[in-house]
Parts: sequence; C-alpha cells; structure tokens
Amino acid sequence: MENIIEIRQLNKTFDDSAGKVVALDDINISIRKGEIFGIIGLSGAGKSTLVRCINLLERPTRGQIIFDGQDLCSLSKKQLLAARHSMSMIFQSFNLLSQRTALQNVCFPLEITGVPHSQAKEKARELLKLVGLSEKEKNYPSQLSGGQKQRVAIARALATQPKVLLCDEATSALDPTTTQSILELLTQINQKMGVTIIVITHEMKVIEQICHRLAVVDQSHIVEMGQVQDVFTRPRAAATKQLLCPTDSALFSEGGKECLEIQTNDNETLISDIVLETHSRLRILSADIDSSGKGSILLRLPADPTAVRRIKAYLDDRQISYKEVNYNA
Amino acid sequence: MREFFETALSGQMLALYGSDILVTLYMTLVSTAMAYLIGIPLGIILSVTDKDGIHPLSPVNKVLGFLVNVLRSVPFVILLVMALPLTKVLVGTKIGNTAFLVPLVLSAAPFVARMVESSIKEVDKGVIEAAQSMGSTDLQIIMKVLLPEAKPSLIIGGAIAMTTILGYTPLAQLVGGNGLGATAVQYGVYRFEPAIMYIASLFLIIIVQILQEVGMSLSKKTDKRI
Repeated sequence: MENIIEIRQLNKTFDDSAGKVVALDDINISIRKGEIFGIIGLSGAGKSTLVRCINLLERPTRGQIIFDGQDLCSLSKKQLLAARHSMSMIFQSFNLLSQRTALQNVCFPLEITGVPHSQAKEKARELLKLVGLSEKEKNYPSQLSGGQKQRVAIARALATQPKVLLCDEATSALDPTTTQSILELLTQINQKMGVTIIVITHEMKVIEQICHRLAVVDQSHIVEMGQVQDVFTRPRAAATKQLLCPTDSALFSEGGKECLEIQTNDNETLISDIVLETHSRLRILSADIDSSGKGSILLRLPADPTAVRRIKAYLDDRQISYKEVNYNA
Repeated sequence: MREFFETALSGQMLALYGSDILVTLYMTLVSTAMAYLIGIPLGIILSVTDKDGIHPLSPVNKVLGFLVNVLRSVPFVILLVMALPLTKVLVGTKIGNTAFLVPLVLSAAPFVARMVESSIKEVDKGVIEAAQSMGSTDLQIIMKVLLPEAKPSLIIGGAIAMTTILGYTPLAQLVGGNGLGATAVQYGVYRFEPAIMYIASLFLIIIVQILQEVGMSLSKKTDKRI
C-alpha cells in the first residue's frame, strides 16, 4: 500500500536552560494511505512533539517528513503553508475561535485559502450537517458542550478536504460516552472520505477501538510498532505492557462465557503467571492434578475479548496446550 | 453657600463649561484616536516579534521595546516641553489646543502600544496554533485571529487609555490651551475661585464615569466567551 507520510530518522532536540533535551530520537514511521494510525505513550514520552513535527509546527532538528511525496523540511514557507491545507489537526482543547460562531469557525480555513464567502458558508453548512450540528451553526463555542466543540473542530479540519487528519489527544478532555461518539465519527470519516487519520493518545481504549496500526513511544523512542491486534495480544516492550496493564488499574474482570481446559505438566505457578502477565481475573471451575503436578485445570475466562486473546497468546507462546470447552454451571 | 457658587454658576461660566466640555472631548477623542493609529501597529509588532510570538524577531522587539519604554518614562510635563519644536513643525504653532495634541499623542501612543501588546498576548496559544496548523500566514493570524479574539480586551484597554489621556488634559493650560481641566487650574489655583474648580472637576468625573461604563458594556457585549 502507498505511504502518505514517511517519517525518516526524525530527531528533535530542545535547547533548555539546563542544556539540550532530546524529545525525539531516530523516529521512523511509514503511514499508509487510508489507515488510522495510533501513536501512544505516557505523558512526556514525546508524542505531542512528534505530531507537531509532522506538520512542522515544530521544526525537526534532523530527519525528513515526507508528505505525499515531498519533504516538508525542504519546502519554502509558502509551499509549507500550502501543504498544511491538506493536513488538518484537531486538539485536546478544541482551539475554536471564541469570538466566532460554529459556522464562522468552520469557514475559517476556507477564508484563508481564498474561497469566496458564500461558497465557504455553503460548504461549512454541509460539514456541520456531517458532524450532526446543523442546528448549532449560530452558537458560539461557549454555548456548546465539549463533544459539540470537538465536532465543530472536526468539521473545521475537514473543510479544506485534507488528506491527513492529525488528532492530538482529541478525546482526552471528554467523558466516556462523548469519547465514544467522537471515535465513531472519526471512523466514519476515515471510511467514507478516505482520510488518513493519525491519533495521538495515552488511552489504550482509543487505539483499540479505531486504529489499524500503532506505534508506542517511550522516552523519545519508538519501542514497538505493528498491527493493533498483534501488539495488544503480544506486547513486547515494557512501556506497552505498562500502558496495557497499568499496575494500579483494575484487573480484567471475570465472568465471561468462554472456558478453557489447560493441560499442565509441572508448572506450579501457571495460574498466577497467567494472572500477572495478562492482568486478568480467572475462575478455576475444576482441577484434576496428581502429585507430580500433571493434570488439567478448567478455567472461566474474563468477558473482555482482548484479555481472552492475550491469555491464549500467552499460552501459545509458552506452548501450553489448551482447548476451549462448553461449560454451563 | 449661595455666595460661594454665585459666580461659578453665572450664565457666563455655564457657557464656559459647555465649551470646555467640547474642547476636552475633542482633545481626548482625537488624541486617543491618533494614539491608537500609532499604538495598534506598534503593539502588534511588539507582541508578534516577541520570543513567544508568531514571528519572533528579537532585534526589532528589543529596539522597539526600548523606545517605547523611554517615551513612557519621560514625565508628561517634561515631554510637553521637549516636544515643542516637533509641535511647531507639525502644527505650525506651539500653543493652543491643537498644539497640545502632539505631546498628548506622543505620550499616549507608547502606553497604548503596551496595552495592545498585553491584550494580544492574552489570546489563547492553542487557537493560534490551530490557525497555524491550517496554513494561515502571519498576516492572516493577526487580522483573523489575534485582533478579533482580543477585541473585548482591546475595548477595555481603549476605555482605560481614554481616561488616562483625559487625566493629562488639564496641562493644556501650560501651552495656552483650555478645557475643563485648564479652567479648573486657572480658576482654582490662580484666581482663588474654588467653586469653579469643583464644578469643572465634577464634569471631568462625570465624563470619566461615562467613558468607563460605555467601554465596559461595549466590551461585554462583544465578548462571546460568556
């Protein structure tokens, strides 16, 4: 598949009063046309700097950002501004113009690209309709809820028909229900309009729900990259594991329908290992083990499908045989 | 009591107050307008070229900031005298109400520049970043983001600038100008007619109150954040 963005050997160093601070070191990512790509990391990992380097709000210290075939770092200011028309961004704090109505906000990017006023208005109305805010066009941002503000911001970002939409913690200031609806909207935009979306977040849920591939950023480096399912099922880097199963988070609760019968040989701590590694609660339904440690254990798995996948992947990796069984208590 | 106010409220004096109010408003409004004509571009340049601005340009910022500070640190009475040659060149005379406008503008413009600068710096950095991410030019950001977003704050600044300028108008008396302030000084200080001084000052107070109120309510009306 064709790459829309290629980040090559990107390095960003800030000059601090205390000396040089390396924010990003040797970052290489290829983002494919039409995919939803997630970049995840804990606060301070460098992901916000990374997304700002993609549209050159931050100029990389070294490296290349190839967008649609051209290296952004080599462009003149004028060319760069033109390139930004096809790469929009939405933010955690929405960043709407407070003195403009919803409609006027959506008109803004059209105004700066020189679209005639009446045409801009028409296009803006269309976009507000797309994000489900037709009746709110005369409202000012202060009269809108967080979710509505982000919808206006999305409509505004789509106005110039961008090829790429950068989302910088776009749902981090929203409650779970609103987050859900914004994520659905983003998926819909990706599918219907074919816009490539790059999602920056610290929430695994967001990645799991909408992304196709992801990169995990930790301490200025990319520590893991791949298909979301693969990374979620077999996390390798310590940072990924920590993001997936924060030590202070609740365990994946039990109560799923699926049951597994596991054959054990002499692995005495098998159950504890599964619990610790996959962060899941298990219920032992029955066990038949002889004095040498051989036998079978029947487990009820958690309801969460990701947890189930991870448990199976863990067992596969350890080459422990198991079979799925129907068990109705 | 009646005696105290008798001359102060004579028909002749009432006519003087009337023309003084007009002259005072003329000096205040015209010099505020001119101070803004100079101060807005200066304030924009100061905020834009700042190291956190949208187009950092340290040398320009430093030089301009220094000049503004120099003009602001010269006491108005002294500036009035220093500006006399310039006044002669610009207005053709060193005396009168119009001549007085020159030092007034010279003193108010740097003050206005700082007010405009601080209003613009209050604009949310995130909104500016959003505009940049959309590929706005610096000029587009100034005209379509910074000034409109700072509008309510700029209006309040305008009201403050106007009342400050109004506070300088009594010194018009030093260059043979008139107005409410000049009358208050003339009669209260030199002719021992305190009643006239009080009445002229009362009008000044009323004008300040009106300017401030109008400024505040205008700012509130234009502000869409609340």
